[in-house]
Amino acid sequence: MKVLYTLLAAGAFCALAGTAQATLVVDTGAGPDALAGGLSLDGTDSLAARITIGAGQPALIDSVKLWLADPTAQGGTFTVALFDTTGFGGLPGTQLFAAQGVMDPASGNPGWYGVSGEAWNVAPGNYWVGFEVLPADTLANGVAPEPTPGTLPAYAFDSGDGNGFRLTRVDQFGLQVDAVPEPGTWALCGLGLAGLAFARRRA
Amino acid sequence: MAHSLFKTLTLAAAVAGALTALPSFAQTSDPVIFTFSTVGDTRTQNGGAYQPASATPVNLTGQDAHWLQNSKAWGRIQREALAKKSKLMVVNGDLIMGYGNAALPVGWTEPGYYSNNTTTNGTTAAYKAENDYFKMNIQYAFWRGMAAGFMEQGMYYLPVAGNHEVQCSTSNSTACGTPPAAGSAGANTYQGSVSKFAVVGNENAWRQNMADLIIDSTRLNGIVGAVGASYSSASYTTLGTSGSDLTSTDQSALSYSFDLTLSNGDIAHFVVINTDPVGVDSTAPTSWLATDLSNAAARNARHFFVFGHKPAFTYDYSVAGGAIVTTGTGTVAPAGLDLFLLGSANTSASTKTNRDTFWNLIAQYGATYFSGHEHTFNMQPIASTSNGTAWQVLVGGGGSAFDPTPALAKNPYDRYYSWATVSIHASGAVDVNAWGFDENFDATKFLGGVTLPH
Repeated sequence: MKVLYTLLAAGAFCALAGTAQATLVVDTGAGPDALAGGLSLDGTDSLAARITIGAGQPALIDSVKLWLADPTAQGGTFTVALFDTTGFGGLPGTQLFAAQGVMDPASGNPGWYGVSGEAWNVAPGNYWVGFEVLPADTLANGVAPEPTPGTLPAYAFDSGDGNGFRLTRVDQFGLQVDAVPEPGTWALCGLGLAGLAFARRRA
Repeated sequence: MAHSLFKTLTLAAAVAGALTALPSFAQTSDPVIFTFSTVGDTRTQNGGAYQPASATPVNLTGQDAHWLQNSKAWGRIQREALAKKSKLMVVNGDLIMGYGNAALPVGWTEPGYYSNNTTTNGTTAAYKAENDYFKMNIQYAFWRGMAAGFMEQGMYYLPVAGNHEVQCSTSNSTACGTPPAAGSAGANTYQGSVSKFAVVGNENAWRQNMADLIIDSTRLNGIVGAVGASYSSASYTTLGTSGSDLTSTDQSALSYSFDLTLSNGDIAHFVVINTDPVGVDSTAPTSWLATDLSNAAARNARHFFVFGHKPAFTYDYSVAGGAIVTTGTGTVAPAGLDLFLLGSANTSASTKTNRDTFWNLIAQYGATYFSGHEHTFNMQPIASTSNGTAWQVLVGGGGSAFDPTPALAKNPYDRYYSWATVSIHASGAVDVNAWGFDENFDATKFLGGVTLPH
C-alpha cells in the first residue's frame, strides 16, 4: 500500500510539476504599442498564423495569446481556435479546438490576450492558430499591432467575404503559444520516480 | 503519512483545477454608447479599371461597369462598419457617377414607369435628356439596393450630395445646358469653368432618390433606439431657398441637420451640408450653418458632427507627412472649399472667404468635419483663423479610383479604401478611428485615430 501511495504521489507530483513548467513553443515577441497599421479583429475580420509543433516538443497546448489592442478601450470576448492545414492550399481547414478568450483593456492596451488552462492535445506537425469574433463574442474594435520581432512561416486573414482565409502578403501579428508535456509523459515520470524510490528502499 | 500526502496532493489538484476559470470581463469604466461610421465616394467611373494607375489594374466587372459602383470595396466597407456596431452610416457624397442632367424630360410626369410617357430615339436633345434621366436614376437605384440589406441589419444611412450627384459635366453629358449666371454681388458661381456646374434637375433627382432617408423618423428611431438613443424630429431643420448663402434653389434634403439624444442624455447634433449648391459650387452654406449650430448649442448639444462632400482643406498627398495644399500652383490643386481661396478662378471677396468662415464655425462649436471628394485618406487637426483648431477627417476612399497615383502617394494609406468609425463614450469623449484595406483587398488595418473631448 505504501508503494501504491508512493506511485500515486509521484505521478501527481509530476503532473503539478509539468503544469508549472509549460514551455513557450511559439513566441514572436510583443508587437508595438502604436496601433496604426495593426490588423483588424472583429466580427468581419479574422486572423490566423501557421505554427509548427516539432517532434519532441511539449504537445499539450495550454495557452494561446495574441498581442491585442482596442482603440476604443472597450475590449470584449473573442474565439481562439486551432485548425489543421487541410484547407485549400494548406490554409486553415478543420477546426480541432476552440475556446473563448477575453480582451480586457484595463490589463493592458495592447497586451497579451487569449486562452489559458486548455489541454489541446496535438501531434507533431503544422497547425493554424486562428482568432475570430463569432456571433457569441463581443470584441468590436480589436487591433493586432505589427510588426513583431519574430515572424511565423505564414499568416492569413479572412475578411468575411465568404471566401474564407487567404494568405496575407506582408502582414503579421504577435503570438505566444505555451504547451506542456502530454499526460503519458507524466505517467512515465511518475513511474520513473517510483522506480527510483523503490530502488532506494532496496538499497 | 503517505495517505495524508496523497490526500493533500489530491486536494491541491482540485484547487488547481478550480483556478482555471472561464473568461471573465469586467465592465469598462467608460462604455461606448453610440457608434457611427462615415465614408465617401463609393462610385466608380465609366469603363476601364477600378484603379487605373495600379501596377496590376483590374477592369470593372460587368455589373460594376453597368451600374458604375465599386461594389466589392463598398460592400466590404459596409460589412466592416456594421461589424463595428455602427448604427449610422453617413456617406459623404459621390455615391453615383452621375455628372449628367437628371431633369425630368420635357413632357414627362412622375412616376415615369406607369405613366403615358413616351421616349424618343436618336440624337435629339429630348433623347439625351431621357438617357441622363434613366442613367442617373438607375445608378441611384443600384446604390440604394446595396444599402438596403444593411439598413435591415440595423445601420441607418444618411446621404450627402457630392459633385457627381448635383453637377453636370459637359465631358460626360451633352444635356447639361448652359451654366447658371453668376450670382448676386458678382460672385463666381462655379468652379472657374463652364464644364462642371450644379443643375436644378440634379438637385431634384437627389430628392427623388434620397429624400425618404432625410429623415425617416420611424426607421431611424427603431435603429438608434436599440442602443438607447432617440432621434428628435423637432430639431430637424432643412435649408430651403436661402439668399443669404447666395443659393437660389431649394436646398431641402441637401443641407439638413438633426439631433440624436444618446442613452446618457447627451445630444449629438448631426449636420449635412451641400458643398455644390446651384450657382455657388464649392461653397458651404455658412449663414444657414451659423444659425443651425447656434440653435443646437442653445439646446445644449454636446457633440457636433458636420458632413460635406468637399474638404475645407485639400490634402496634399504628394508630400510626406500629410500636408495641406496652400497654393493653387502646386502638384495637387485645391479641390475643396479652398478652390476659390487658392485657385485662379475669379471670385468675389465673399466667395474667397467662405472656407475660412466655414472653418471658424467648425472650430467655434468644437465640431469635427468629415468629407470625401479626394479619393484618399487623411485626418488631421487644422487651425482656424480665429477660433482654435478642429479636425478634418477626409475619408474619400469608398471605392472610386484613388487620386494619388503610386508615384505621387507619399503616405502609407494614401491608396487605401478607407472609412472612419466614431465611438461616443458615456463620459462624452469621442474616438474617431480610421480603418481601411489596400487596393489588393488585403487584411483590414487600423489606420489611425484620435480621442476628442467631445
